[in-house]
Amino acid sequence: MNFTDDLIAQSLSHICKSSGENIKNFKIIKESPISHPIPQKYNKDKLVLLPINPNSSFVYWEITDKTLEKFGIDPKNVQLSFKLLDAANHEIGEFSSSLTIGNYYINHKSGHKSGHKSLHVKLFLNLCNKLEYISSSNIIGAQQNTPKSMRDDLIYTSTLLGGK
Amino acid sequence: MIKGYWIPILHSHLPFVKHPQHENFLEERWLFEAITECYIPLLQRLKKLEEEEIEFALTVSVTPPLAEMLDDEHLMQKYENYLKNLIELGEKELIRTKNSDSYNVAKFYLDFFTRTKEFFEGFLDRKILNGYRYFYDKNVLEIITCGATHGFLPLLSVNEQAVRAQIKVAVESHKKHFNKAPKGIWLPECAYYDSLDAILKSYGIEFFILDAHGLLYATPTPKNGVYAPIVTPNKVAVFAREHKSSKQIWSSKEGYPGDFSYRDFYRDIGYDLDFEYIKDYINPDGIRIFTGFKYYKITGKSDYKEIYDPSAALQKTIEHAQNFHFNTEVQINKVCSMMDRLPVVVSPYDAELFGHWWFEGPEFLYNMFKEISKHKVIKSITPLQYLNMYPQNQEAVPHPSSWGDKGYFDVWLNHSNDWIYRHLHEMADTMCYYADKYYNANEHQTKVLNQMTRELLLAQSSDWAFLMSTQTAAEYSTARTKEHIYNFFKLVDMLENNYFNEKFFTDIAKKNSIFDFLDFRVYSNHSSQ
Repeated sequence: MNFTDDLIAQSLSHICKSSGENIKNFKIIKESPISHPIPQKYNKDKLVLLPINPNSSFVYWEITDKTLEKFGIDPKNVQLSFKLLDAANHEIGEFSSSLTIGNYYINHKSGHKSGHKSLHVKLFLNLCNKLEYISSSNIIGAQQNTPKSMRDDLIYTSTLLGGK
Repeated sequence: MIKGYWIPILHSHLPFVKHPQHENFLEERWLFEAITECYIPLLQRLKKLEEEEIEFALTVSVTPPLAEMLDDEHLMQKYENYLKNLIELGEKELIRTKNSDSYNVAKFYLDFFTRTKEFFEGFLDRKILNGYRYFYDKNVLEIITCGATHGFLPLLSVNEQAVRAQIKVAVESHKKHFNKAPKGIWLPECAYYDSLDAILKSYGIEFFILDAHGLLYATPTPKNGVYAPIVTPNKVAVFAREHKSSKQIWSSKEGYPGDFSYRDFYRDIGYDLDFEYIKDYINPDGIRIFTGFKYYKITGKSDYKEIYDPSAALQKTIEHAQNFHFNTEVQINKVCSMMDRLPVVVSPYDAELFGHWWFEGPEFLYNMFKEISKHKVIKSITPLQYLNMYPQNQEAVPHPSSWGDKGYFDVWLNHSNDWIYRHLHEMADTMCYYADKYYNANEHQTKVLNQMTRELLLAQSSDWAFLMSTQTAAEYSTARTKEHIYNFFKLVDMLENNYFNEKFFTDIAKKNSIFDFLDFRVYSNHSSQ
């Protein structure tokens, strides 16, 4: 006899909730007036896709002036097109941007439910309505949706770190 | 007759915070409070169990940054001062409360802090890790490791070497502090991504823990739910959190810590008393903070609070341990008839929950082990002991997941903290490049490259993204992240342009002094296997 379903149901049937609710916030002292400026850009072409949850991903990019120059594009007048694709290169969604350094949150249906096992993004330059391929992102795996009954409000915030 | 097993797991972690340029630094108190309220009380209870010959088995992660801080001379000196101040305040409190209802509680605190000091100086010989090593060597405590700086591995994995470095340095840190290699790992934030098991396996890790859905959504579906581990294709065992046992302790509404008899967390003399009286025991710049002297019990849901009664609260931990034991037994009874083996209930918690938020938590654990010993229907074990009994487990591929809010990566990647990843990834790529380029570096270059590695690892700590996300200590977390990015690229500049800024280097090396054994080649592709 297979009891898997019952065991899964037992595994799922309760909701956890944080014990750390309503904790007072800590007041913070500044360590010192020293500021630590960080790079605004790295002058490298980059396109990175990061998974967030079954329904959204985050992509960030940087396109260098050097790359744009190769296509004779003025960096101040750029049209970039991004396509979200599955493992078989089927298009799932797209967006565009005029920023050479930027990021974007991609909302998509649960990749796993839609049969997409992995996702990646391709970046194109939009040249007079003609798309010129520039680069592809890393590939990420698709995630499943989690049953609400299991995960609802499951969060713990450490009171030591001033959690609330 | 044993009907099933219970694997309690405490995840002990704090980010590396050390500010030697300041005599008092607010965020350093995170460590001091945790030592006083969580780590020492836990070790005291384990010692008591040992003295009473009560059998127990507990799994505890001691993360590398925590171990490094607990082993840091500067921080431990500050801790001794912290404890001294608490005892001094305790003595003042006895006088202040002499004719009031609070007097007995004041006596309780003075006794509590005095006993803490005695334990610290006596059994622990001023080294907290001595306590962990003592029980680890007796095989009643299984200490597992974590990411080197608690880096959120799925979001670092665009550079595999970054993940490898987190694991390899963690294993080395564990060996340094505990004289043996870790068998298990607490993945930072229980965060898993596809194929991470291969990297874990390559560094000798035999098991890790996921939240329930990380296992329940495994492929194929595990036939025993969360009541037995699975084994990944790379032969690493995966245990999963059982939610019923979690709920009883973590739930803000139904959990034990919310019982009206327990100590109220919020009411603290650091906020309640006159400034003139308390000013020497709060932050030197006048910011009021929690002192640890809390005189009230939770009492009810309103602001009305009654005086805390430590004896009644301790009695309540016995009732709650009995209740927890009863519920666990019921749960085990429910599922054991469906399984071809004895079920295991895995209960992971933040170690800092026990003692800090839930002041009586360590006593609850002590009583829980006593209950188990009394009834002998449940046996507390470690994951390794389970695997020794059941070496054959269903093979399945775990599902990417975390134990954070909503179960995936939202907490560590959202509008509040997304800016960090561009820098973390660039730093990791840059580190790989220089680790290869300077593989045979001279002594001077090696110093710079090792410090670059420290700055990168410290920037990767998932705590900063988490705190930005929860808007708690967000300013400090942002400043820390920027500082490590800045330091890293300043060191790159020194390397590239062949100069050495002695003052800058000395300052950051003293402050960000984690992992004295570190070798930058951990980032080299030559050492990736």
